[in-house]
Amino acid sequence: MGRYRTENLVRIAIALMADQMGQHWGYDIIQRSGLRSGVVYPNLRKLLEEGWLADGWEDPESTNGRPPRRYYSVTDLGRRKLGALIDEARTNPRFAAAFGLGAA
Amino acid sequence: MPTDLAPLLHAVQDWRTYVILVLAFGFFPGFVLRLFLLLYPKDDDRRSELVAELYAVPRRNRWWFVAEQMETALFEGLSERRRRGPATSANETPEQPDISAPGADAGPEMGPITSRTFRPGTGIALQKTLEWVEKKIEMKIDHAAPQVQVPTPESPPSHTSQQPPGLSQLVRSKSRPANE
Repeated sequence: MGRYRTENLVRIAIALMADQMGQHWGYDIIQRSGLRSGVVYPNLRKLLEEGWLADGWEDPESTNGRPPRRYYSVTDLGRRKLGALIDEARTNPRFAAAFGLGAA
Repeated sequence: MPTDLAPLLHAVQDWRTYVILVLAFGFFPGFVLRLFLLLYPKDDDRRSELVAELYAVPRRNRWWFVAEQMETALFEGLSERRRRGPATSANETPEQPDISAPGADAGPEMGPITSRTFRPGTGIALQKTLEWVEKKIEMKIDHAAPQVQVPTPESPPSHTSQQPPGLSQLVRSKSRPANE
């Protein structure tokens, strides 16, 4: 994942780490990161493949007739890696804009 | 201005274009979204995910969400499709008939195999099928081996006590000249 250290990934990391133990929805991550869905979803796929995120589906009985949504939760590995990524990016002026916009 | 662009620009400025866009993205966003999602592979979770997300988006923002998914589907869906390769995976093996079952038949209606039986390019499939049949026959012989009586020197050797040649060997021996 080293070569993917972009401002977009830092923004997504900030959005995810704002609630480390919670469940995240694709649209919520889009809202909190301020990124387009065309950027967020491919990054989420990469994070899933790396094992930084785990995914699951809502219980269909609790959705009141709408389709169940897919949620993402940060794994232990993801907490370590995303935390390190944010720490590293915090000291890098290249990512200053990400912290100005997306910090929780 | 090139004359080719003029009708296109005129179409964009036309009120009917706006009506169509409003209808498509405003009233049938689910339909349009599902069309975009056809770019993803059939079993991709993203198809269900994005449809479900649409209903979580506030109604006034749905048209924009759907429009954005075109980009997502074009870049992520198509690249995922390319990454996975063709729809029929190489790992998937065609269902083979269970010829080891009692009373099973290898297919008498198939008729004699000639050079016209198979289309070009099916040679590998034929070879693999022959190997598979050979393996099945060998397995069957292995299972049956303890029950076969060992021929005594007085009695003529039984045909079943000898391992029959493989199918490919048979095919080869048939094609050989008789004087060999």
